[in-house]
Amino acid sequence: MSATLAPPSSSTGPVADASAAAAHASPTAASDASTPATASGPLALQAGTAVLIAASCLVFSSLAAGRLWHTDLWDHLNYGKHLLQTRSSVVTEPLLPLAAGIRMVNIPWLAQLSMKLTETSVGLAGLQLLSALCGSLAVFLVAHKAARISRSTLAGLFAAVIFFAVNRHELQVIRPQLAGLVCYCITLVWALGSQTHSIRHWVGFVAMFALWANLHGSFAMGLIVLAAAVTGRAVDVFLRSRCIAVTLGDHRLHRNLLLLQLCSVAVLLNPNGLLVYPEIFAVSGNANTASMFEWQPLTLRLAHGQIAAAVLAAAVVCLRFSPRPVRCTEVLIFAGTGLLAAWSARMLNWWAPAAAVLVARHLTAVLRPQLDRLRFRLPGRPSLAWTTLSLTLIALSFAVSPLGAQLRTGTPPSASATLSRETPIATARFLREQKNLPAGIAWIPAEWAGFIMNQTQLSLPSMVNLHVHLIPEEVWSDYLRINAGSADWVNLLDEYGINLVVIDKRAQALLLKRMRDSSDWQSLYEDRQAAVLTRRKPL
Amino acid sequence: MTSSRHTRQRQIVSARTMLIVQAIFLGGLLIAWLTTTSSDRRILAAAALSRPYPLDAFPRTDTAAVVTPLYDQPDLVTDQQLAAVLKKLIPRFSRSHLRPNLIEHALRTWGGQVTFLNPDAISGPKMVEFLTDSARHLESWDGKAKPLLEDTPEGIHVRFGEDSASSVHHDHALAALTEAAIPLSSNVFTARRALQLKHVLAEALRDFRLDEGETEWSSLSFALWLSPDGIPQWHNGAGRNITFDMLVERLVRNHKRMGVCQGTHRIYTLMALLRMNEQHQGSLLSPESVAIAEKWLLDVRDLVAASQFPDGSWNPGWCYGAEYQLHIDPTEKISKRVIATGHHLEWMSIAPKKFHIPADQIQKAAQWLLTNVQNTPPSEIDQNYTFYSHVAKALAMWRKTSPAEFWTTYRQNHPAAETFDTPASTPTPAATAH
Repeated sequence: MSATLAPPSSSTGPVADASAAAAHASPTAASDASTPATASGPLALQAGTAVLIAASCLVFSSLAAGRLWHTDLWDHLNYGKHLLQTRSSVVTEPLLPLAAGIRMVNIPWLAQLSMKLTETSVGLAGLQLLSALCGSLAVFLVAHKAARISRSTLAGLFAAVIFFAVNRHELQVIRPQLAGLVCYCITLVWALGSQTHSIRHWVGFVAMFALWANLHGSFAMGLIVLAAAVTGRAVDVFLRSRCIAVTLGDHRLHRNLLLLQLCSVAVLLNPNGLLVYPEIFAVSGNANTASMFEWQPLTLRLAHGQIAAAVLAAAVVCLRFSPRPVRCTEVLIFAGTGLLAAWSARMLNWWAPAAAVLVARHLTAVLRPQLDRLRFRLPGRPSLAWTTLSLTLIALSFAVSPLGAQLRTGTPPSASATLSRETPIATARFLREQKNLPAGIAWIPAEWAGFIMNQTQLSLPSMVNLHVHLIPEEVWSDYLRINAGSADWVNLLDEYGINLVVIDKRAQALLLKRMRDSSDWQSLYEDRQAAVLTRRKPL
Repeated sequence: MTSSRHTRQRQIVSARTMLIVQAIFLGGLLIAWLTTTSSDRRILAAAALSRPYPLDAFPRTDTAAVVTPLYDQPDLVTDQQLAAVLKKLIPRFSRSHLRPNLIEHALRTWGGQVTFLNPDAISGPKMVEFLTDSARHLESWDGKAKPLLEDTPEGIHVRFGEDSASSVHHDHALAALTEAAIPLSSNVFTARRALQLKHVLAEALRDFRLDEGETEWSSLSFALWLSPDGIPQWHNGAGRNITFDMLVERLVRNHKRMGVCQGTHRIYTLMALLRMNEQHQGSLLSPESVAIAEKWLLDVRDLVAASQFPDGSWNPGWCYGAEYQLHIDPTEKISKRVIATGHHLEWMSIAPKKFHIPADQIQKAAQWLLTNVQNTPPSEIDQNYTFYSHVAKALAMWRKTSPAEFWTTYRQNHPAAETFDTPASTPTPAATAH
């Protein structure tokens, strides 16, 4: 590639890259062109798109059939319930007595409200549907972008598989983050694509970021992607022109920068205003999160760590042998989110889509000669038949989902079929039926606190829940010591005036043993999964 | 060609567009700032500067409120008996390696104004000086200890719980200075700066954490300083909104055996909170918190009434009520009973009658204390000065006076009152740290 003093035109983006690659590809490549539908009307889809929709429907069905996770989903529903009851945003933590007075910047209030309204109106199956919709939409966006910039449906399928494999763990957990993931994928595919700036894009992005800041704190990841688009563009232009003046005068760079500014100010349209910015750092930098499994560094001991390592190795090999040029933006996003994931396993959520697009794109380019020999080609012409097929698949996926079954039969699925096996359904039912539980704070495993508080109509205040960044450090530390069955458990329970303890027999075996040995505590309830103990003489 | 130029022109960001976006960006930030509450602005500023949340409540008055005793009962303790007790509690400590904990107890008992005629005794102003001037503290420790007063960017932190040269409890020094009626404008000297007591209070309000081990002294100090101005809440350095209602919840939540001095300071502080709230027209506590505190104190009253030993004393098992006998330790030192009995009489001296145990039980407790003090050699009292200081204060308060006020009057008619047969002894750290 020869150097030029002229700024790269807008056609030097990935579309141009794709065109160039397509020019090298033989007409028999296993690819289709994602050109706009023309002859068959705007509703006509290409066969490749239909294939990707089919793949996304599989993801949808898989996620919709998944059980509701027993952890922080219920905390979010509890906050959503509180929002519905009070009809006002929270200022300080409202549900945990030990977190009273602590400022709560409840960024995902809109997601919590939506989740609660969904649960109230159509039941738990509605939450499964919401989760599956978000997950499959994110997968489709990533797969479609990979297919589009590679001009290969196979690349889209590669991307879908990689994304799902790396991020399956996060996709299965229903939380506001899934809504954030959809917004993130929209931003990502724009940044990794042609970075067009039509009126639709300007308005759409500003509106989406305003919405995003009310759904989840991951809007910061979106801003990082936009910032990467600005930086990446600047570096790309400079590397081509070797001239700072040309770089600074680049029009797309200007537009990217303006879009970043507008989106960063759009997120201020939320009940907490400017506070959403420091809140992001407050959560990730909170000392309590260090003890949370998912916030710890990604390691090869974790299954998703091993998958991520394999994808990383594949990415390195693909980049080494790929004939396609590498854009600085994709490198920045891939490396930046990768470093974040190494720092904290939870950040894998943001690396997965970037890695999926990058690997799929370059893997397809590496395999192009072999694929050409297959002489298999999907019909390239858009057709309403593919649209019909796609809609049928979507309808079928919905029909076989738990909500679809509920609407067909009129009977909601049972809790045991909907909730994860770790959910303490029987224990919560027992506690709900008790009329004279001892007063005061209860010690409940943080993972179960949301569910048990939810099932007991918030009448059983828990020492903690999984919003650990809102819990005072001393309280969280003491909670962990009790959880581990520390020898000073008696003092710790006395310290907080705890009269009722719910035990996960698998996780708190030592604590249960110690409590059983104590004459001050008596068993109130026990099943295979859990035990409930109370003081013989409540404080 | 024309189309290409047209496309290129569309791609150019005009200066006007650039300015409009900058206006939207800056205007958005400005509007967001203007619509942010003052409390949230402080959070933002603190986060931006990596500093603690700035203090948003502080007393306007220079002197703290006083929890006055309610009863004058000469039948409980006569002038002669009180004088005999007070004489044994005159602070005659060695000036070398003087522990702040001793001075804090002596100051709390005698106040900052008292002047003793005996040169061995440490008068009030000297006690205040020791606690508020690092030079005096370091002088006593031959410059080999860490200063008691530590500079922080925003105020002064009183070192506690580290060694013999530090205070024992968080905010105990502040509480002692507060109860001794030292004004906020009093000078406080760290090793580097000359500040005032208000900087100690400000730091205490900032570094207070609701879930730290001991909140009794902090809560008492805050109530005495903030109640005169009717300030029911403030934000600590972490930005947490602390209310006196939360302090009540915190003080009543533990098992009653827990807390400083066998849990008895929690009772004193709660009673002081109720008194301050009543004194300032309910500005400190909500009716719900008053009800919670009263219920808890009535419960304490019943436990105390049921757990008194036949001789009139209490042991650390008072919180088990009638089952106190199950918690008797045969090897227990008598000083443990002095702690429980002295402290119970102390909080009852500021409590309305409905929180009292029957009068004959109070009488028996006072008699036990008087007999104990009378029979205990001065050297042993000196060894357990911090425990006995509460006895002296409690008995004085049951005469509706203070040790300093009573002693000053008493001394006028008894010129030899401060003459001692034995020299002063130095208490050991183990016996005095409580």
